[in-house]
Amino acid sequence: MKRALLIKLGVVAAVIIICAIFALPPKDKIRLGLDLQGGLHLVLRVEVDKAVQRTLERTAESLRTELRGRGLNVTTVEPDESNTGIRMLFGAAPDMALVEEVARDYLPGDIVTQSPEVLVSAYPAAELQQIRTSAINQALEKIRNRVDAFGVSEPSIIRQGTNRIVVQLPGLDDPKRAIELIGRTAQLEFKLVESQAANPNAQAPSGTELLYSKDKNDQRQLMQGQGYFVRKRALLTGDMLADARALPDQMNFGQYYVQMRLNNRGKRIFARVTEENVGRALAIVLDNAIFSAPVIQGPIPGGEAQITGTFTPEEARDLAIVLREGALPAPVEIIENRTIGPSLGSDSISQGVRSVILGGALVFVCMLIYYRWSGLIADVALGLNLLIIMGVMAMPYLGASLTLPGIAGIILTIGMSVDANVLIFERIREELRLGKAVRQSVETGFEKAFVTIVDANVTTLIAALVLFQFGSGPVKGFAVTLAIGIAASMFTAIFVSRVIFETMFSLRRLVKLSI
Amino acid sequence: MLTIIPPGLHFDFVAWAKQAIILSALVIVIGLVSIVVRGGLNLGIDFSGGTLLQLRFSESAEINAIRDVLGKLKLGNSVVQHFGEDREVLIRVPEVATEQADIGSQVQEALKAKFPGQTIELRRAEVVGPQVSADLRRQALFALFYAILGIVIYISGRFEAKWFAAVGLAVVLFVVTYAITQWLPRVAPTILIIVALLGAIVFCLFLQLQYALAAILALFHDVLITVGFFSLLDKPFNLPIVAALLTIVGYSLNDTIIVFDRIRENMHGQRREQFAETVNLSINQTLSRTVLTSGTTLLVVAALFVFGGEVIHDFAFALLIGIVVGTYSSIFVASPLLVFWNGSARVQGLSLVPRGTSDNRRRAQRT
Repeated sequence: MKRALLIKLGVVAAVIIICAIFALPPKDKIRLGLDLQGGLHLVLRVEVDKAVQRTLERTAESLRTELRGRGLNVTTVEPDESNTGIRMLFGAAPDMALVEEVARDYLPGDIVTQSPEVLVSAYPAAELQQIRTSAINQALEKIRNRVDAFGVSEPSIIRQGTNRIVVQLPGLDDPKRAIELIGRTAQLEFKLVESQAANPNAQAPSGTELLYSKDKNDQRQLMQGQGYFVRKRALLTGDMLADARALPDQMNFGQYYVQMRLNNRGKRIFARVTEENVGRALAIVLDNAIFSAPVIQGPIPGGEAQITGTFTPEEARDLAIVLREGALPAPVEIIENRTIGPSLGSDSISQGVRSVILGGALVFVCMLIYYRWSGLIADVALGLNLLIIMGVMAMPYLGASLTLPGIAGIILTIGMSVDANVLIFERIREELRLGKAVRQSVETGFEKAFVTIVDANVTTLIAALVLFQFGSGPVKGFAVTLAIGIAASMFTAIFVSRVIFETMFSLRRLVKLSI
Repeated sequence: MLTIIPPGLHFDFVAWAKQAIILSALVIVIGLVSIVVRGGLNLGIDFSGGTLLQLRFSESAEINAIRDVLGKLKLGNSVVQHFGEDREVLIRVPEVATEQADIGSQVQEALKAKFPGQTIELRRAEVVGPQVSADLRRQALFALFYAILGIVIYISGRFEAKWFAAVGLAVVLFVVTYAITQWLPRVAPTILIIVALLGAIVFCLFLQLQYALAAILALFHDVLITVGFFSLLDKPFNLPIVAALLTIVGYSLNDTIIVFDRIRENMHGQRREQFAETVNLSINQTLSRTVLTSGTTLLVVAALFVFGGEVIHDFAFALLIGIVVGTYSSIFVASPLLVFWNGSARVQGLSLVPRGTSDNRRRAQRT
């Protein structure tokens, strides 16, 4: 056998072996998309503007304390209306030099005098952008930690665009729980209660705001409970927590509560607050809803507090997780949510596989009947085609996963791979009809058909490429299998079939071709 | 050799051109009328936003009872239908509820209360907010736009060997659309696509790129008919369907290119007046291959359609129609258009030339 032919055979064998190694057994090696595996796909929009607002508020708070500490008569320090800067209102015209000295550590922009008592300082655009970017990164980090604590295998959490986060959790049992865990801002604040709000429509006393407690009704659904007027300033916040833990309630069997331990700074503040405010209620506020408002009996130096409520073990555990990991820098909104149950996923797989087997069998038989022994060669090429597709899909470096439209793409490829073989065989038949010799006909057939095959497949390849670029999720999977399938079918039809024919010719002289 | 199409067949396809065009026009018009009457396409939640729930009951589910339950939840304008079997129900709610995570379980709880004896399983829940659906709409339209661009360039370069002109056209279109998006950001992508199509057509007319133009018009024809069918049968139009359309475009072009390649091959050294005859001959010569390929692809897609399950059903349906129409258009739309523009006399009548005739051999040997 000629050397060139042996090399070609070697190439084919190598391809078979490599793909077989990668692809078999398929159950373990091929990654499934969410629509086949079941799971959760979330797109979150981080409200970065709120993050900016919050950062400004915090800076304003600290600045106010500092200004007062230096003896300046400042009334309020707060973000301006557009949330792009800070506004300071003084009781009387202040000492500008002193203000500037103090503010230098807090404000990145220049201070402008709007009126004798009002000073404003705008934040430069770059600074605001920096706040936004850092908010997203923080949110990303926190969500990742929460998901890790939740214990999902192979989660995927990535940033998308300027303010979106895409979360994919395959094989999830309880999507509702996961969504709550991820989407919860979990901003913890301790605020003093002024009074109960007997009439919620009444004007809130100055320095306070109206918040409601969370109650559960008979169906264990949360609803608004009692309204309270609480002091706006939070005495303690979630970043002062050292640890949070879910523990079983000894008195109410089956219920859990969350035990919080404050860090050193929090401990000190907590001790002072409880000492100074015996007899008042301290509201534990989570995401602007009051979870409980126990009355302070006496000073608590230990820095431990509890959140009680009718929590199931999971609810308490999840709450502990978000408190431990910390609040999100800004609220997130779920703008896309696709949940596929595992039963639907496995149904889709079995139906898809069934179609592939059926379609493949039909094509196999058709080729055999129509082209006889040459049809068998085409069928071998088809089988190799499928193996190559599976092999490439299974390659870990590509990160490709199989989706339901992806299976449809494989089926399409089965149909289209026939095309290349048909083109070649029909040309061979034409040549044979003209009376040319068998070997000559086969060679001419392959040559003449080559350009047409490439031509025809390029257009579908363009479509596949465009789909890959602009498609998302399952559609991307379709584009991937289609593209791989087209490339594989060209390879098998042009190269592998030819090698088989050439091998046949080199083994014995054929006068008639079964085609 | 077993053959479906006898090798010496000489069916006069071109003679049927007028009837074919009328038939196509009729089908397209029916589709368009359906779209207009229904007030636009039935856009799925991918493109219009909303919530989709797929629930499986342990016994058969009564649609009316379910509608009652939804009405009580103030989700009155939802669409409820069976999905594949009696036990399975698809509920489509146009709104994205404020407590998004809960709408699925809200409905589930309410249904459990209504049908206490049954177990209700939430097989699938998809919630698409308005921002995301707007994004997906834009993406789908841009995909169509770039696909058209890519194909026009490829056809122009391949058929007319006018690569420079093709690339030039691409650059011009790209610049124009970019300018439009910059200066008039409100312009919908649909306008861009129409601009691109018109630009491509004008370009082809101007440079007398007949092959390219015929191919583009055939593609247009295929997409319109497929979309028309979807509107007629009121099937929801989602992202996968757009993917199917693009695939159909790529696939239909296959057939067209094969025939056009043959036409050009056969036209080597032929006189212009014999164009119609050459076109006919080329179609007949490639018929075997066209029927076989389309046939097998149809077979496998039919397998997907019947056995692939409900979720992929509409996608398979789109492909099914597209393959049939695509094959039809290569033979009865694209080629006759070429003849029309060449203005040659048409070959009349139907003649079956028996195998091995010297006439046939001579013709074949000329290529």
